[in-house]
Formats: sequence, structure tokens, C-alpha cells
Amino acid sequence: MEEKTEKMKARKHLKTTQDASQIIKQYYAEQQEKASKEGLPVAWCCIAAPRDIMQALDIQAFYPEQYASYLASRDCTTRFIQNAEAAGYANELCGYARAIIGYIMDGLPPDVPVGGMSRPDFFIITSAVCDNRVKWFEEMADMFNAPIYLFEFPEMPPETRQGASSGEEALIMLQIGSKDAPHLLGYTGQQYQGLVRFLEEQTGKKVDPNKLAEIRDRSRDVGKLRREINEYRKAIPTPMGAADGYTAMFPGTYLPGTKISDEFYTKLREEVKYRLDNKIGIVPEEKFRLAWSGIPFWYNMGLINYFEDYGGVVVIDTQYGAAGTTINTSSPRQPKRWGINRMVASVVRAVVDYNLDGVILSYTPTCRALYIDQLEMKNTLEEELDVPALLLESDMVDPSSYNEAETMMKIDAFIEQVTEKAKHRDWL
Amino acid sequence: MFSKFEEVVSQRHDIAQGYKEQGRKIVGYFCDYTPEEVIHAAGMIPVRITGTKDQIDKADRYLQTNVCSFARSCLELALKGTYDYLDGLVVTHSCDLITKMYEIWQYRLEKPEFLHYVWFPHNIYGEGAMQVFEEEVKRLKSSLENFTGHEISDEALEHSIEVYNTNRKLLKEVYEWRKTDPPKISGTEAFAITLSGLLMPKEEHNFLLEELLSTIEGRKDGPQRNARLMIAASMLDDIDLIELIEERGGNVVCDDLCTGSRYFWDGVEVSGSSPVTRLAQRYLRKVPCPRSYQSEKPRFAHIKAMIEDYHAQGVILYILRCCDAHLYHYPKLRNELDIPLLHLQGEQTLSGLAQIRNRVDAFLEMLGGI
Repeated sequence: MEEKTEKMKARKHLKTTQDASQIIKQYYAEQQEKASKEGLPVAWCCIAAPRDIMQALDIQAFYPEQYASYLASRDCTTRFIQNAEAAGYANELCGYARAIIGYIMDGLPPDVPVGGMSRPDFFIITSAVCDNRVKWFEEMADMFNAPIYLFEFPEMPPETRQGASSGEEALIMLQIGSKDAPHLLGYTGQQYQGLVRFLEEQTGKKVDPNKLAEIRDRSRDVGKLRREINEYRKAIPTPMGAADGYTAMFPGTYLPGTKISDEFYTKLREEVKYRLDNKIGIVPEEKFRLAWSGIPFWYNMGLINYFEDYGGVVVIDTQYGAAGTTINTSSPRQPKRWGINRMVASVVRAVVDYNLDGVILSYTPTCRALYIDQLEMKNTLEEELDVPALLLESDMVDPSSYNEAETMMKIDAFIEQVTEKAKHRDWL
Repeated sequence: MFSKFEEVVSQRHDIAQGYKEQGRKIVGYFCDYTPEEVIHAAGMIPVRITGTKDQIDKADRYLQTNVCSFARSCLELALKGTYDYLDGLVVTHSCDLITKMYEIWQYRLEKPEFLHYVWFPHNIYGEGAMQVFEEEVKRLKSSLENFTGHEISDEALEHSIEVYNTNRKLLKEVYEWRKTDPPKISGTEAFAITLSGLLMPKEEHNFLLEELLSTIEGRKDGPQRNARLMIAASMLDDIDLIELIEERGGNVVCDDLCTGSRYFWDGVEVSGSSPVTRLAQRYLRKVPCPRSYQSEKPRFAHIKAMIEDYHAQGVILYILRCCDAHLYHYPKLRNELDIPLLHLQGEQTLSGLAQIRNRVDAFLEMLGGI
């Protein structure tokens, strides 16, 4: 399969983030080798599956959502999507699901970027964020006739008509249980115990508590490093934007409790801190600051750099973790209400904390769970903060859904709008 | 014979308003996973939230155009004030979109006064699901008690279970009259009967059903012999689609609908554990919505049993655009059925009516050649 052209990839500004692609390749190579040569068990998991427990049991974890996005970033999804659709999976179903179902139908072919995912022994799925994934993973487990564990996250809406609360919890986008439903938290705990039992049965091993504690400690350290880096990114000019941020998320998201991850973020923090201290921004003169919310168009990450030609920077993405070490309670920009739910509140929070002038909402029509909040994000940002948001429509992995002319026209108009608004930041 | 049922369906909001004016309290609910008996036992009338065929205008501000058209149309009615007669709203976690209905309704609308969200497990057959859902039924009960200021006794719950079970039994008897060839009751009539039951007090629905069942045997003006069809859909809240199919020359004899057979097929146990426990069991073990984990086998079994018992010759599958759960079931359902299946992409407004008509005609023609 052909690798995609340079112009569609995001242009990175930091040195450390360029190491991430090597980490991804190494991750896939090592896992494939451990699965095939050492016979270690392979799990296909959703993004919210607990990593630490799998690491403690030497499970080789692959993440179909991540791999679908990787395939898309190499422009390699089309043939698989066509397979799935020919078999009756409707084109309005999740792009990740169609790409991976089609990849399975092709018999996990070897001629794919980074060698692909090893054949799974079992599946782990959670119900966090999206209902659709439960069906997708059930479908895949059935295709391999493999065992599957569903870990339920009983998410609840805000408890009052005021909507989401404003504090740090806004950055934790899930609300499990509620004050009047403690049983839901109990159920989550029970589910976790069930997962541990399932994994122990599948691997024939017992979790070593010391090893697990070590992984958790390191995972916490990695989390702390990532939050510190985010905190630095709040500065004007920002020392690191989302073009680097998306690339940098892999080690922390998929290898949180490891030495590789620890070393990567330590090095990244140093580089970001250096840039911060020396006021090195992403563009020579930072004129406006944006957030990207929603899943990016993985086959066209270069779009994020486009704003840089006009003095704009996409400072942060709000989907994969915008939490820093503080929240900004002193800014005069404080909304009265934070939106219908935590997902909306997390974007409002990011706008306040990162001193943003606007938000790009990537409207990926096959990802129901994320896009159904987007108009409310737009409404809330306008109503509460007078901050404009732009909806850009395209699938996250299916390039056939992308309309270049329309997208660029919208972006150009938006750039004019935010550039003008950013000249009058009375909230700074 | 059927006019009262049809009137309730076509005048649903006026009728609800009428009950309201008589001093009754009305509670709207989404999804047939909502344990309605608890609302009934609180002395209120549960009515299913349904949508509109009208142009969407106000809801465009909150939900994009290609979001589930059913959800959009329900929100449109709420924003227009059609549901102002509601005293309460209960939303059960069926899918992401229906959860969103709760969040938007809660944040953007001032009415109704009472709002409650019921969390419903995906893993309906999994460990702990029964206990956690039982707690959710209890939470709904206490929330309603706080709202009304009155305790819901076990006796009241037992009474509501009895009323609802009677309704289920009577509806099954009505469905028996669809097994004959030709059926005694058309699909359009049958759907008006079941749908009206979601929009009016159960006691009155039971009364109408008993009246109908006492006279149906002697009916002379029933449907003619025609191709026998099953309808399966993600959400159907009006009779027009079935009416169209029957106008084109098919007899819809059975269904897989959450506003049809799935709504009433399974009853609540009448003795044994506490009424709350038995209610939790019923809703978790009923014929499942495809949104539930491991729902494929029981749902397909229900569909196959219906096809066999009602001698269906073809299935029309009407899936609203973007209804993921149904769309995931579709490829396998298509492969597993040994009778022809017509898949129609659904839209709440039935905007592609001409195309639907043509495809139904072609399907009926093909069945005629069997």
C-alpha cells in the first residue's frame, strides 16, 4: 500500500514529538513479536480500557480505534471501508468500525502500515462515551469467535437544570453515577473486579500487586508530566500546539505506565519549558489561538497547520485531554452556565484556561457520540463567552467524505473573524 | 370498531391535554425500557414521547440535520411547546441520542417540572445487571414519591402490574387474529391498537381492547388475502408507513417494533419476589432492543418465531438513518433469514415516500412470484 504524501501530514514544530512515530512503530513491532514468538496473549481493546491491569498481565493490547486512525493518516482505509460496506455495514456507521471490520474481512493482511494488529485472543470494550462501540466490538468478537468482556461505565447527565458544573471535574468528561445513585459506582467497581477475573482467566496468570502498583505509580507520573506540559501550553505565545500534541498523545494514551513514556514526556517537558522560557512560539507573531474539539480528520492532519500561515495556532485539542495543573478562576471570562453536560463544559473550560479566541469543531458525522454535543458547544461558547466556533464536516477516517473547497472556504472566513476578535481581547 | 384507537393516535396531544384538564398528571417517557408501571402506580398517566412529520425548525439550533430524525422531531415538538402539558419526563438510557434528549430538555426548557433519568445497563444478561437496575427502579420510585409527596406502596405497584399484564395479555389476543389467512385485523389497524396504548391510560385501553375482542370474530369486512409481511423498524410512531405498505397490496401481519410486539410481548411475574424486583426482571429480560449487548440472539429468535407463527413471507426492515444499533444487526439479520427482506432507509418525515412506494411495489411483486 502506498504511504500518503507529505502535504497531508501535520507539520511538527518540536523535536521530541518527532520521536513519537518511532515509538508507535516500535510498539507495534514489539507487540507483534511478543505475540507470535513468545505466544503472549493479544487483546483488542477500546481506548477507555484500563491499561495498567493489562500491562501487569503482559497482555499485548491493540486498539482498533487507534489503528484505524493510523491507517487513515497513511491514507490506507478506503479498501477496507469498501469491504465493510459491501457486506452490508451502512456508510453512516462509525468510520473506525467500518475500516477495521473491512480489515478483518480481508484476513488481517500483512501489507498494511506498521504490520497491522496481531490476531486477537480476546476483546475488551467499555461503554464509556459511546454506545456504538459496544456493538462494534461485539461484532468483531463474533467474527473471531473470541471471548469479550464489556466493562460498563454508567454515565449520568448533570443533576440540575444549571447543567454541567464548572470546576476541575469539567475536564474529566465522564460522570459515573450521581449523588442519588451510589449503586452505579458500586456496579462500576464490580465490573472492574469482573474484568480482572476475566483477564486472569484468559492469561492463566494472577495479577502481581507489586507490579501493578509500580505501573500505576509510573502512570501517575506520566499523567503529571502531561498535565505540566499542558499547563505550559496556556502561555501566550504557546510553546506547543495541537499539531505536536496529537502526535505526542500516543505514548501517554497507550503506554502510560512505561519507562518509554516516562522518558518521552520528561524530554518533551524540558523542550516545552525551554521554549516557554525563551518565548518561542509556533508562529513568529501569534495573532489568534484556537482549540480543536472532536476527532480530527486523521487523513488530513496538515489542516491543523493551515492556520499558522495566518498567525493562528491550534493550541490544544479538547478530546484527548486538555487538563493542566490549574484552572483559571481569575479570568474575567467566566460563564454563568457551562453547558448541557461535561463534554460541553470541557470545551468552555479549555477556552477560559488556554485564553482561546475560537474553537474548531470537527463534525465527524459517523461519530454520533461526539458530534451530537457540538451545536451545544457552539451555542454555549457564543452565549456565555462570545467566542466563535466553526463546524467542519468530514469523517475521521474516510477521505471520500472530505470536501476540500467547502472546508477551506469556511476556514478562511473563520480566520478573518477570529483575527479581528483577537485584536480586542478585553478579557486578558 | 377501530376508530377510537385511530383517533387516539391521530389526536394524541389533544387527548393528553384533555386528561390534563380533568386534573390528571401526565408523564412523558422515552423508550420501552422505561418501567412504566412505577409511573402508573404513582397515579400518573405515562405517555410515550413521539415525534412529528413536520418540518424541523427550532431543533436545528441544537441537533445537526443528520442526527436521528426521530430525536430531532421529538425535540422540535418540545421546543414548540407541544409537550407543555407534561408534568414530568422520564428518559431511559437507550442510546446516545435519547440521553441527549434528557440533557437538552433539562438545560434548554423550563418545563416539565419533574425530570428523571434512568440508567439502563447495556449488559442486560451480565453479572450485577439485575441488582443495579433494581436500584434504578427504586430510585425512579423514590424520585416520583418526592415529586408527588405520596408513597408508592407495594399494593399500588401490584395493581399497576396487574393492569399492565392485562393489557399485554389482551394485545396478544388481538395479535392472534392476525394469524388467520386472511388476517381478521389489518396491520394498520393492529398498529393503531398497540400505538394508542402508549398514549392513553391503560385501564381505558384495556376496556377498548375487551370491547374489540368481543366482536372481532364476526367481522366481515376484514383484509383481503395478500402477501403476508413482517415489519421491523428502529422507531415507528405513526401508522402511515404500514398504511402505505397495505395500500400497495401487502398484509402486515406481525412486527418487531418497540412500539409494537416488543413493547408488550413479555409480562411481569405476578408472585415471588418484591414487585420492584419483578419489574426489574421483566425490563431486563424482555425482547431486547438491538442497542443492548448480546441482544442479537434473543431478538433474532423473536423475529424468527414471529415469521413462523404468523406465516410471514417477507420482512420489511425500516431503519432510521444513523440508528447504529439496528444498522449493526442488519448484515447478520439479512443472512440469517430464509425469507426475502427489504431494507428501507428511514426518515421521520417519510420524505422519500415515492421511492419507498416503488421499492415496496417491487418487493410485493417479487413475493407474488414465490
